[in-house]
Amino acid sequence: MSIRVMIAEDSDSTRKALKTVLKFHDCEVIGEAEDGEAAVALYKSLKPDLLLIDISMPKKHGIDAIKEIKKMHPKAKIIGITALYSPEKRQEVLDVGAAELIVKPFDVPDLIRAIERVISQ
Amino acid sequence: MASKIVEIWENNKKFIMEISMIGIIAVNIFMFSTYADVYNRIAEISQKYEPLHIDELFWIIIFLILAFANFSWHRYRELIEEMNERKKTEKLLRESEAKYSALVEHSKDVIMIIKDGKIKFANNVSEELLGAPPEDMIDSKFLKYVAAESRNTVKKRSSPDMHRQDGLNIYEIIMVKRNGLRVPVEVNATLIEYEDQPADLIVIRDITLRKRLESEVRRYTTKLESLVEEKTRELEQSYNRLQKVDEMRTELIDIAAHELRTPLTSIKAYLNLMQSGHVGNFTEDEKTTLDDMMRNINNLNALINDMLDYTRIEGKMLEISLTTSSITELAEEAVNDFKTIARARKISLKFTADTNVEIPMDREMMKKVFVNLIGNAIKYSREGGSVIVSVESGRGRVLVAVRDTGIGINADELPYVFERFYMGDTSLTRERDQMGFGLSIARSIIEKHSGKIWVESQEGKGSTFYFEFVI
Repeated sequence: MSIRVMIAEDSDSTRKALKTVLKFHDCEVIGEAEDGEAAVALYKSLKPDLLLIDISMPKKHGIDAIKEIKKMHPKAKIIGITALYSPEKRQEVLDVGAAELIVKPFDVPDLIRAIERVISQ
Repeated sequence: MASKIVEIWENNKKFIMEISMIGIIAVNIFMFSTYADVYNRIAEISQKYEPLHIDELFWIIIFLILAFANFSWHRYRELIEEMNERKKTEKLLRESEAKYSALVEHSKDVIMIIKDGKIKFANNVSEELLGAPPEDMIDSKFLKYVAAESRNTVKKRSSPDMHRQDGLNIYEIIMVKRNGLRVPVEVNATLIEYEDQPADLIVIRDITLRKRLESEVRRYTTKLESLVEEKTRELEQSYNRLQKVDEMRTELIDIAAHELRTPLTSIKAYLNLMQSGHVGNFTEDEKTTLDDMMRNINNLNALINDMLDYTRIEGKMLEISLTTSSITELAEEAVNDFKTIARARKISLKFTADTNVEIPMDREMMKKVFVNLIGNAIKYSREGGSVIVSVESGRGRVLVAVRDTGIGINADELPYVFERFYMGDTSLTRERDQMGFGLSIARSIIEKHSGKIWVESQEGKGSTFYFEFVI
């Protein structure tokens, strides 16, 4: 049974790579968004099992999007992805309701383990 | 009448008594006849108003002469005494006058007596101050020598009410010399009695010099204040500029790091899939190549990390922010992070600490120091080697040591170990992992925490990196 995953990521190449990885690990990518606003709208209509969302843009669109989605769907399962890690950022992401934070460039096994952890919660 | 008699008696007591004595003696001499005769004689005289006999007259005259002589003698003695008294008094007065005259005339200040607004006395110095000799000033109005704008002050300060208050009556006014020149003065006034009437004794001091100095001081103070203001503004501007530079630099580096990591993400993800067999079919040899590729990608990522660290720490103009937390816990955490790698390389990694020490620190930055030192220790150790991380406190300091039994550092290179771009022996690693920023960043971080970092090493035996803080 595939996990229904939605991806919010502005970089085409990263989106493509994520799709490829997820395909090999029992995940079906049911929707893609390129920015925070689109992500919120798409989540509403798709209601995926899991959201992978990039928050490493200098502007805070990623964090705001997570906040909004969590407000509408408190049980939403969200994993944040960032290229610029700091303990403060990790705390911020967890505070707004994401379950985990993955750092780019990620290790595929690490990502898959994180997905399994979050889905099984 | 009675009081007049008492007065006469009081003033001439001695004289009257002496006269009486003489009188009694004279009467006795006069009266060598019996008391009866006297009595009869007096009765006769008083009844008949007979003229006195010549011998009676004689004795009366003698009596009067003696009385007069006595009187004259007394008066003479009194006059002599009075004269002496007067001479003494005059001498004292002269001396006193000489003393006060000396005081008044030798005073550097003007001394005047003002009664009813007129100058009744002025010492010699008055001529210096006001340009008129004291004689000319007597009986002229004091206000004549006071500038128009100060006259009200003088009037206020001269009224009797002013003096009745407690405290000093000192005030500043402008006076005017005879030739019209203005002089700033300080006036000190006291109420005295002069010729039985209230008058002002005033001491006037020329404060031209003081005023000039005061205005100089004011001028310099104002200049100084405006200079300080200017410099403070400049400093504030510089500070703001530097803050902006810091912000811009950080923003720039963050963007650069993000852009560099984006393609790496894709490459690494696909490579993972190839390594795990999801994509393609590779032989063991080919898989080795894949591993090499992965190592390079990780190196590249590490370089980006270094670049971020370098910019954030070394290039930073302003200070880091500190919160007090346990360095012992942080050290242990860092050691645990490396356990897996150490085990993989068959290197023993241990942690010891004697106490839990808390210091003000930037935790993230301090962690980087541990990661760098422990990472290096492991990297430059051979299989079977050991790395020990210790935290000790004592004598007001906390000392952290990372000791390895690795290849050590050449004595010639030891002084340069903490400099930027210094690379250890790269024969142990197959590629460059770093740009050589690690130790220079570590030193920067330690120094920003007001600590010291140093190394002891022997080539072939191992190295120990130390850093310490005062607590």
